[in-house]
Formats: sequence, C-alpha cells, structure tokens
Amino acid sequence: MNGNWLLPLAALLPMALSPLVWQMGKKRQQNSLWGLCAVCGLETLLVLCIAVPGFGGAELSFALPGFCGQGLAMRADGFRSLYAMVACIMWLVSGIFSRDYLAHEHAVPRYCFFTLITLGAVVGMFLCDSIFSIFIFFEIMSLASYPWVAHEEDRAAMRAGETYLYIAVIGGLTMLMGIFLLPRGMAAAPLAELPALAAGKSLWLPAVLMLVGFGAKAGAFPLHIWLPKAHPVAPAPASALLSGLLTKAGVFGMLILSTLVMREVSGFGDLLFRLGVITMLLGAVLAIFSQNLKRTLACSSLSQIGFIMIGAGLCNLLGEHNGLALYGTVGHMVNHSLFKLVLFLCAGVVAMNTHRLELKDVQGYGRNKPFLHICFLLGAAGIAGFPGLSGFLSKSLLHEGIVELIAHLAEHGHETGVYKVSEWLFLIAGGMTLCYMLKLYLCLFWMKNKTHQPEYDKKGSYLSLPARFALGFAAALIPVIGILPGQTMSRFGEVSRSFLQGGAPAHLPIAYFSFENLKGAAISLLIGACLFGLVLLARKLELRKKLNIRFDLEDMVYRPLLAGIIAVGGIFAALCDKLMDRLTALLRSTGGLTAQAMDSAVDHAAALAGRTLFSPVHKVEEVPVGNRFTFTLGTWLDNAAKVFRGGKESEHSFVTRLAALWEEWTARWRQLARTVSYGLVLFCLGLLCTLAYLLW
Amino acid sequence: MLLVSTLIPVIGAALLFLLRPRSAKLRGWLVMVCSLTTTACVAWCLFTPGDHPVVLLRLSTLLTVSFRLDGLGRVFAGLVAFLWPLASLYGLEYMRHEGGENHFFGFYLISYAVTLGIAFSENLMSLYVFYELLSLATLPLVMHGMKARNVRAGRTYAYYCLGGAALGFMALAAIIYYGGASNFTPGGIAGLAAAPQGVVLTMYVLGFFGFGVKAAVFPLHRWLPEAGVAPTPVTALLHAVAVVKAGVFAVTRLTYYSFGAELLRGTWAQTLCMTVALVGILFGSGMAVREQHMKRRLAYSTMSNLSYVLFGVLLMTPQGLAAGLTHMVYHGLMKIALFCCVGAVMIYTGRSDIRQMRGLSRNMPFTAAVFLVCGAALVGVPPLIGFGSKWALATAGVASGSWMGVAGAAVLLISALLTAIYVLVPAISAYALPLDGEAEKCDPGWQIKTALCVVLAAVVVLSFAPQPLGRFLAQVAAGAM
Repeated sequence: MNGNWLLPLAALLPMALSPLVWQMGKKRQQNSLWGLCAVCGLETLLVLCIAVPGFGGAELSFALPGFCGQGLAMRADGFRSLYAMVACIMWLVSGIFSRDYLAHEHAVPRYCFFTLITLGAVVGMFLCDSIFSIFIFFEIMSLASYPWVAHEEDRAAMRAGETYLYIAVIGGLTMLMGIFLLPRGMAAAPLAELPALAAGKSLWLPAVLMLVGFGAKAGAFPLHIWLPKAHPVAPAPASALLSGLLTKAGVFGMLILSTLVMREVSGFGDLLFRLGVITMLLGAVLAIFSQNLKRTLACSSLSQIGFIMIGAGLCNLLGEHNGLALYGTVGHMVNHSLFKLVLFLCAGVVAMNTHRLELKDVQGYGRNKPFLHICFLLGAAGIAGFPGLSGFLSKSLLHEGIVELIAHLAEHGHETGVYKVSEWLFLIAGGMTLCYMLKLYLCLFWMKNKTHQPEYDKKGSYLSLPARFALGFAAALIPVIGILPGQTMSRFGEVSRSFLQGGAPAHLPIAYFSFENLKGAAISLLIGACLFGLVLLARKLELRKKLNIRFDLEDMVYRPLLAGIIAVGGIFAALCDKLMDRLTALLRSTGGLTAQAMDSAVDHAAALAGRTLFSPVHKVEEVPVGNRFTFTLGTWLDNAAKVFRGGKESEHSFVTRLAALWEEWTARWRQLARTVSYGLVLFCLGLLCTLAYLLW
Repeated sequence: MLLVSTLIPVIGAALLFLLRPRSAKLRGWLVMVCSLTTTACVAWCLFTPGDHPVVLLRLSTLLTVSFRLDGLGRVFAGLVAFLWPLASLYGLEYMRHEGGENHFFGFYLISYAVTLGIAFSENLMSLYVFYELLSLATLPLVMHGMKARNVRAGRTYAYYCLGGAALGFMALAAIIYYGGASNFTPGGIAGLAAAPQGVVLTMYVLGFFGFGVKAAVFPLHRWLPEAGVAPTPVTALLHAVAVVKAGVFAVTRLTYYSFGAELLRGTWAQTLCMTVALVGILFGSGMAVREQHMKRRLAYSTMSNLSYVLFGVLLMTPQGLAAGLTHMVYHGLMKIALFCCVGAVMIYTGRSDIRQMRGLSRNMPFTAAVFLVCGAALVGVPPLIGFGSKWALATAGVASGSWMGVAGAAVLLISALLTAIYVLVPAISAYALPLDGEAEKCDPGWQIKTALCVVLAAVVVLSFAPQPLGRFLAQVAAGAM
C-alpha cells in the first residue's frame, strides 16, 4: 500500500456514506436528498484536491497490491482528474436538481443510496491506472446504476431495466474474457506502459472483446439497444448522469483501447471510426423520428457518442498527428456531458410539472418561462453546433481531424473514398442534430398546446431557487467554453495528451474561429434547416403512419436469439440429465434380457439332454412309505428278521418304524439347526478344524 | 494427535447412541463439545509443523491404513474443521424441527471423523477405506426421516457411491500393481511411468470417474440433487462441502500424488476429463437456472462449482491447482451459507420455491442479507471472494496455453452469467418485489444466526485479505508437482 490516500478515499467516501444517507431518509425522504447533495459537495471538494495537482502536472498515485489478486492502481493525471471533476460537478448539479424532481417520488432513499455508490464507482473508475482496476469499478458502476433505470418499477421500467442489466452483465463478462486473454501482466500494468507491452503482439481478440464491453456501456452500435429504452424511464437527474457520464465511462475504455492497447494497429481505429459513423447516423435518425421528449434526447446521446467514437478512431488512425482529433474527442466528451446535463434537467422540469413526456402532450409547456427557455436554448444550440457555443468547437476539431486524415491518406497514396463519404455523413449528422433539437425547441417553447395550455401558463414557481441555480450554472458553462476556447477547450486537450500519449496539434494556438470551421458549421446548419423542412413536410403527409416501420433490434433479433440459445441449452440439459438414468435402464433391460435368454437356453438344453442323452433307462419305483434309504434299510432288516425268526412275519415292520423314526429326527434336527447354539457349535468346530489344520 | 482428533467424534457418537439424551441442552453440549474439541485438535495439528504420522492398520506392506498430514491434507482438514462446528450449531436449531436428533447427530459426528480420515490419509488405500466409510456413514443422514423420498434418495446415493468406489478400487489396484506402492508422493508414484501408457491412462480415467462420483462429475451427478431431500445441515455441510469436496480432494490426490501431473499432462485422459468438467460446469449452471426448488437449485449449482474446481485441478499446472484449491475453500464457505439461509427459510416460513422468495427481506431481513452477500460472492461480484477464485481459475486456464484452458475461461464466464441468473434473481427479488401476505418478522434464532455470522465474517475477511491463504495454497500447489 503506497501513494496518496486521497485517491481511494475519493472512490470510497460516497460508497461509505451511502448507507448513512439511506438511513437518513427513513423518517423523511427529503433528508436523504439533503444527504446526497452534501456528500456530492464533499466529494467535489475531495476530487478538487486531487485534480488541482493533476492539472498542474504533479500527479497523485496510489497502489494497493494484491487487491482482488491483481492489485489496485490509481493515478490522477490531467485527463483523469478532468473527468473525475466533470463527474463530481454533474453529480452535484443533478443532486441539487433531484431535490425538486424527487420531492414527491417513491423510494427516494434507495435512489440516493445507489446514486452515491455509482458516484464512487465512476470517480474510482476514472482515476484507475490499470485495466483490471478499471474493470472492477466499471462493473460496480454498471450494477449500481440498475436501480436508476428500474426506479419507477412499472412495466416499462422493469423491462428497460432487464435489458440494461442483460447488456451490462453480458458486456462485462465479454470484457472480462478479453482481459483474461491479454498477455500475462498486462491487465495489472500501469496504463502508460501498455503501448510498450502491446508492441509486436497480436491483440485483436482481447481488444475486440473488451470493446464489446465498453461499447455496450457507451451505447455503440449494435449494442445500443438498452440506451433509448433506459434513459427515458429513469428519473431525469439519473437520465442526465446515465447519458452524460456513464456512456463516457465506455468511451474512456475505448480511448484506452484505441490509443494505448491497439496503438500500432490502425485497423482497430478504422473499426471504431466505422462503428462511430453508423452509431452517429442511427442515433440521429432515431432522434428525428422519436415522439417522446426524453427518448429524443437519449437517441441524441447515441448520435453524439458516435461523434466521439469517430474521434477515438481518428486518434488511432492519425498516429503521431492526432493532436487535433484528440483535442476534439476530449472536448466533445466534456461538452456532451454538459449538454446532456442541461437538456435532461430541462426535460426533468417538464416531466415533474406535467408528469408527461410525449411531445404532443408537453407541447407549449415552455411558453412564458424565460429561465427554462434560455437554459434549453443554450443546450440545444450548443449541441447543434452554433458558433459561440461549445459544441461548435469540438465538432469543428473532429471535422478537422477527418479532413486531416483524408489529406494524410492521400499523401501516402491510400484510398480515401470511405473517409470522404464519412466527412459528408459527419456534416449531415451535424445537420440532423440541429433538426431534432429544433423539433424539441419549437415544440416546447413556441407551439401552443391544444388542451393543456391554460394549465401550463399558470403562474407560479416551477423550479426552486437552488435547482435554478444549479441548472443555470451548468447552462452558463456552455457559452463560457464557447467564447473562451483557449482557456477551456485547449486546456482540456492539453492535459489529456500525456494520458492518451497523443501528439501536439501542428499549429498552436488553435484557430477555432477560422473560415474553414465556420464554413463547416454553416454547411451543417444549412443541411439541418433543409432536413427540418423535409421532416415538416413528411409530417404533413403523415408518412409515419403510412409507412409504419417498426424495427426493434432487441425484440426482433436479440431476444429471439437468446430464447433460442436457452431453448437449445435446455433441451441439451434435459437430455443430459436423463442420460445416466436412461443408460442404467438400458443396461438393466439388456442385462435382464440376456440373463433371461441364457436362463431359458440352459433350461431348454437341459430338457433336451434329459430327453435324449440322459433319458432314464428304467423307471425308479416309488417307495410306499418313508424315503428310499429307510425303505431299503427296513426291507433288509425285515428280511434279516424273517430269516432270524425262521420265516415268520413280524407284526412290527422295520420299514414303517424306520420311516417314523426318520420323520421325527428330521423334525428335531430342523428345530435344532435354528438355534444359535448350534451355530456356535459349528463355528467352534470350524475353528478347531482350522486349528488342527494349522498345527498339523 | 491425528488419531485423537478422529476418535473424539466417534466417542461422542457412541455416547449419543448409548445415552440417548432426552434434553436438548445436554445433547447440544455434547455435540458442541465434541466438535469443538475435535476442531481444536485439528487446529493444533494444522499449525504445528510436521507430518504427525500414525499407522492404524497394517494388512501387508503394500496395504496399510495410515495417517500423515501434508499441505493438501491441511487445506481440506482446515476447511472441514472450520465449518463442522458451525454446521453442528446450525443443526442443533434446525433439527428441532425435524426430530430424531440423537440418531442424526450420532452419524453427523461419525461423518466428521471419517471426513477427517480422508484428509489425513497417507496413501490411496487409506483414502479408499475412508471414502467408502464416508458413503456408509452419511447414508443414514440422507435417509433421515425415512419417508419414501428419503429412502429413494438414499438408495440412489448408495448406488452411485458404491458403484463409483468400485471404479476407484480398480484404479487403486492398478496403482499398487504397477507402481508397487500407494503412498502419496508429490509428482506421482515413480513406478507408474514405466507401466504401459494405455492401461495407466485408462485406469486414471476410471479412477477419476470413480472418485469423481462424490464430486458429482458430469454424467454421475444424479445423486446430488436427489440428496437434497436430506435435512439442511446435511445438504449444507456434506453435500456442499464435506462429501463433495472429499471427491474433489480424492481426484486431486489421484492426479497429483498418485499418477502425477507430468504423466497425465497433454494426454487424452486429461482432455477427456477436462471436457467432462467443462460440460459439467455449463450443465450444472443451466440446470440450476431451470430448477425451481431452492435446495435442488443450489445442488445443481454445487455440481457446477465442483466442476470449476476440477477444471482448475485438471489443468495440471501449479497455478491451476492453486486456483482450484482456492475455489474449493471459497465455494465451501459461500455455499454452506447459502444452504443455511435456504434451510432457515424453509423451516421458519415453509417456503421452498424460488418464486416464493419475493419480498422475503421483510420477513427475514438477516437471512436475506446473508443470502444476497454470499450469492453475489458466488456470482463473482468484485471484490467478494468468488471473483478472486474465478479470476485465478480463468487466468490459470489461459496461462496453461492449451486451447482447453481458453475454452474453460469462456465457459467460466458463461457460467458466471448463469450463476448471476440463478442466485441473484431470488436474492434480489427478496428485496425488490413486494411481499405477499403479512410482513411478520421470523428471523432464525441465535444458533443459526451465529453460524451464519461466522461464515459471513470469513467471507468478508477473505474478500479483503486473500493474500495469506493465497500464498499458502500456492505453496501447496507448487509442492504437489
């Protein structure tokens, strides 16, 4: 055990205090929420103590060898401190907000308990310094966040929770298999040494298996199925964390894989890149067609994770020149966390005041609510990439990364077609972001509700002051980052470079507001506006009802597949279970048959022999009285007596007397033979015989 | 001292049979004093260095029944001696609900002595003798109650065990014939290397299945779920720890100390036995998921976990053996706790079906909590103990370099998923789902609670401080090569 105690404390503190917080809520549920906020605040201070030296380059580290057999290693360098800090801030903001949101909910202490456990796990995971330690905290996080999804305990929540759990557990196990297959010592090695350890080894299999695990958490295609189901059913503060931070845990793992473990294998970066493109488009399309406020946001998360995955792929593909892509990836991670925090909390405001989430029900809720309006607008415009807000910066950098890659490949004479298409898809997906955000924004803040509008327009507080403050703080960060990229975005990228072992951007300081970037944003926004027009047109024509496409990957592929596997396994198991019984029965019946056959064969042979070989020559006469022995002896004696008496017959025939005597003695003998004494006598006789034999 | 520790329980049993104490208090004292003194004796033997050799019976120079304590024996004896008094304490409370205590505890104590005999055995001959005696001594325990189903279960148990022993006997005879000795030697008996390969391997396979019957190896597992009808102290201790681990222990003795890992590594015999173990892992977990009766479910789970241990043992590397032994010890602790919880639920609420576990935490908060923790440990939720041993097994499998080892790691993971389903679903439904009916508190009495607490404490301590035990087991495993 050595190093700085603050690091494990940061992971353990929320976990250790969580039972206390649960207990606090026994009498009044609100107390638990107070406890939650207090612990989150405490944790933020603690992580600040770790992060300040981390940003400054004086990294804290901690190691506990032998923990779970492999040892626990933690280190707080720039990137990890940054993300631990982001996690704490998000928890604090959502904690303060949940005081409003959960005020009238059930099972609040349970919610607070698991929120704190997850906080500890998330902070712990981001501070870890070996794949093994990451795995441990990752699993705790996965399992502890289940109660969020199932919080409502209704049908939809239970089902979403089930899917979430299945994906989390299967993903976790697949990842574990990948870790098993890593070369010896790699799982417990410090992350910084991974590229050296991995050099010259083929690690495709473990890397892909681990990617499945991390990808499942991040919501990457094709394991994204849990995400659009789980985020809408969770309470809004939890959705913000699920979407804003837990997905980043998966991304964190992907970054480790792409920049450290598979550093030399550009194929892996390509895989990530392509998966990213698919996820990005898929999420955006789903978001455009979604009719539910939170579901739209969840699908938007998918899409943004796709952007980040593209970045992670670029970090690998660009090799030494990945500076811009790296800045963009890290920047977009932070930005997306922030956007989703703001947007989900705004959705939470809507949900807790109206108890509805379908767009047609909540339409017009935001009218005449300037605070909510501004917050939502900042989030939506930010994520859509309006210049001046933070999303613009990170998306521009990612776009720049793709352009660089194309140039880089063209320079070396490689095929660039796929990447050129991807660049356009990237811009289109950016446009789609604008399109679905515009949909939500117009729907909530401009359109009027046909039925509930007077109810929605009623004066009165829809959010308490602390919650307003928290939400406002989070929303205010978006333009601050957007306007001051040199102090924020560039710093984020710079502190992450050492961890991801990335190169520096070619031109520093980065010209965020260059003509190229602005042009890209303009194209993207223009596409978005056009798309929105198309969507409106489609809505007019009621295409959705006419086409009525429903394709659910989970219901149509995964669940039947799983059911099939289980059924096959079940049949196999049932067969096996009966195997031994059947085998014995078979043996017994064949054995019985054989015995019977042999038995009757012997019988028949004997009968045949009796009739042929051993057929009696003359018949044995029946004796009239007694048995043959007494009769013969008696006859002799009678004859002798006859001779002795001179031919006179005696009235007492020996034959009958001997027969009677025989009867009597056999009866007595039988009685005697049944007694113990007789047995003992025989035993003694036997002993004597043995003795005699031995002596002789 | 080894002899003394095997004699005390026998004396205790004789006293129980002769005196037939009427009062529960007297009986309790007698049972507890006997088991605790025995455990103290065993502990003394374990912690004093040396072999403590003693010869019980000398039929000929080749056939002797004798005791000698080595590293592997220490592991098994330690596990058994730790758990027996706890299970007896549990049994004292539990058997009040079943009746026939004098008779029951008599055989329970005798089984203790016989199990220790297995652990102490110096050669395969003694092991075989005690192995047979164990079948006989535990038979009345399985049939306790003497209802039709008990008798049927007992009969199945007897068939399987005696049939298995016959196979084991053939291996014993072959070892004595070819090897010229049956004393356990690390690395195997020297003479066997010169014997015809085919015969020796066939005999090993026969021995594996013969001694493996008690470890419920795959096609010979039927007796284990059937034996679940026995009273819970029997299922918890004997059919989760003592008897089944005796089977694993015997297989380990056979593999490492009689035939020798060198001789077997890479042969078809190893492949065959490992395949059986892997199929057993999947099969046991799969059946456990299907099974709805709690004790039978846990019995199938035991079968699967025993195959984990066998998988580790059959890797025939020091790492594999150490991992297998670790899982043997850990599984013993976790499973006994799970069985005890289920037993407590059965006698105090009369529920025995998985679906009736819902909302149980309102009735029996303590029991449900222990069940949850030990269930999570069995699944392998880090940092609890099951995780450490499964990790060790899987890494040992991959490190062994054979494709069977890698397949084993994959099987372990699938099985972990199934374990999560069959243990955690009832454990969580005890908390998450509402209770049907009255929320009447009916946690068990102090005896069951004490037993559970001690086991739980062991689980937690080993979770966070596994190094001393791990080092010892690694040392034992290295010594077996």
